[in-house]
Amino acid sequence: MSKWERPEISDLILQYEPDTGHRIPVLQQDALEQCRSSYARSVIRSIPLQDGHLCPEAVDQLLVTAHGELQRLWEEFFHGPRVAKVLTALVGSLRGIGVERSLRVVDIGCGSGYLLRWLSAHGVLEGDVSWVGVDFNRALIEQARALAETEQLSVTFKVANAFKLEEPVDIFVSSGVMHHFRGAALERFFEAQAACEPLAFAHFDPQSSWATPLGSFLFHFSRMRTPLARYDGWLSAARAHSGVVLEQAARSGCAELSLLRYHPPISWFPLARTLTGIIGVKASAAELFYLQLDEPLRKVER
Amino acid sequence: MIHLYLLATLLTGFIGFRDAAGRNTKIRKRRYYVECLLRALGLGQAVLCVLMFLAIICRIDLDVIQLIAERSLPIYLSYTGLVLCTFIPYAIPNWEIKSVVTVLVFGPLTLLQPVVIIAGAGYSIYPYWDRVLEVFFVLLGTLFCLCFEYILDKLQWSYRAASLSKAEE
Repeated sequence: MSKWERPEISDLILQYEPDTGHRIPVLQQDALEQCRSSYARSVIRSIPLQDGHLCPEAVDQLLVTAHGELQRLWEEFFHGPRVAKVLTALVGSLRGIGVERSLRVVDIGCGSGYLLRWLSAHGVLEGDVSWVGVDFNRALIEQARALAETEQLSVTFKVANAFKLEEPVDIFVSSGVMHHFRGAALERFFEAQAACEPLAFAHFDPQSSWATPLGSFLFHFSRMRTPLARYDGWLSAARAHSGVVLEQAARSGCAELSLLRYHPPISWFPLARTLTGIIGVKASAAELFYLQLDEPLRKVER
Repeated sequence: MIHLYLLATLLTGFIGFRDAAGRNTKIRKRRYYVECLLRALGLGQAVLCVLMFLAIICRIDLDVIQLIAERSLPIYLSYTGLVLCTFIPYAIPNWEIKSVVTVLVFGPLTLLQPVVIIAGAGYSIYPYWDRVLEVFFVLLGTLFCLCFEYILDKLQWSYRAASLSKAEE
């Protein structure tokens, strides 16, 4: 087991019934027992209790604050323009093979909805797609809704399981979500996604390399204020999946789509990449997409 | 001494930006950043004025302060130069280069800042230990630089500005 194979604080203090999305009360003792880091334990201990359980309102408040801080990572890594470019090429390639209807783009685990709010605020694919952000956490979704309303952005946010939405989904996206799914759960993630029969997907996560834990430490400990944002931000990058793991999981879970690695690592200079992605697109549109996106891409062989 | 004043002003500007970052979750927030930056610069100027006032009423020997300031300049200017130089690769219009500069350069330089401030102050006052009042005055200035971010954080100006900008629109 990798030494980074440990849960993030948010994984411990926040638990949901995967099928229903109902929140499960978390005993402080249970969270502490699963925690290997004294730093993380001190964060958990600082959360107020209700009958030995972590107070849900306090947990939500902590998460909203931490997500606000972690938004800096996506801002400073230019994630909005990056995804805009990928989605524009994806939609362009789908239009190229005759898909004419308005497309529904769903952001899985959207948190406070930074990505979709950014895309909407910058008029990316305006009128061509509808943006839907989905997360299990009600407090984060309420925050996302309030922010979208404040800036008059046309994004819909839902408390739901992204793979059990009533409406069909054309494109799935996610940012910093994949590393939360470990082992077989990652394959099940791609299988559940495939069951929704999307036309394409684009999932982004921190680039994994020997230098990632150090880089992530420097970034989060110099910028974040709340201990939760520091620890989870650092660990999420440190335990990011390697390219091999991502490709294997995507291959086994998504037989219908052609797969591409976005920004594959440079073996002799791993520091040169901060984020990576795995992209799937309908086989007939894959070549068009490949030609449209002038970014480093590698086709994933089956 | 004017150099040190300018460096302290630059520092308060940078810290003002840092204090504002990560609090406002809106997408469009240029105005918020400008306001936070101006507030931090204003507070910095006010504190620098108080320091100057203290220097005058305590009859501090400004010639000694000048000598201490000159001695600290190479250290502070090198660090500031390094920080400003990193904006050159950052100006390259490539997201990956910008991201890498953010992680590998801005992060470590931020963490290094208090060390540089303390090292600069320690090195510059070392030959003047016998000038208690002047050394105390320099240490007061150093403490201000070290605590400026903490002070801004405690004042919660940017936190309130972030909440206000949400409520206003």
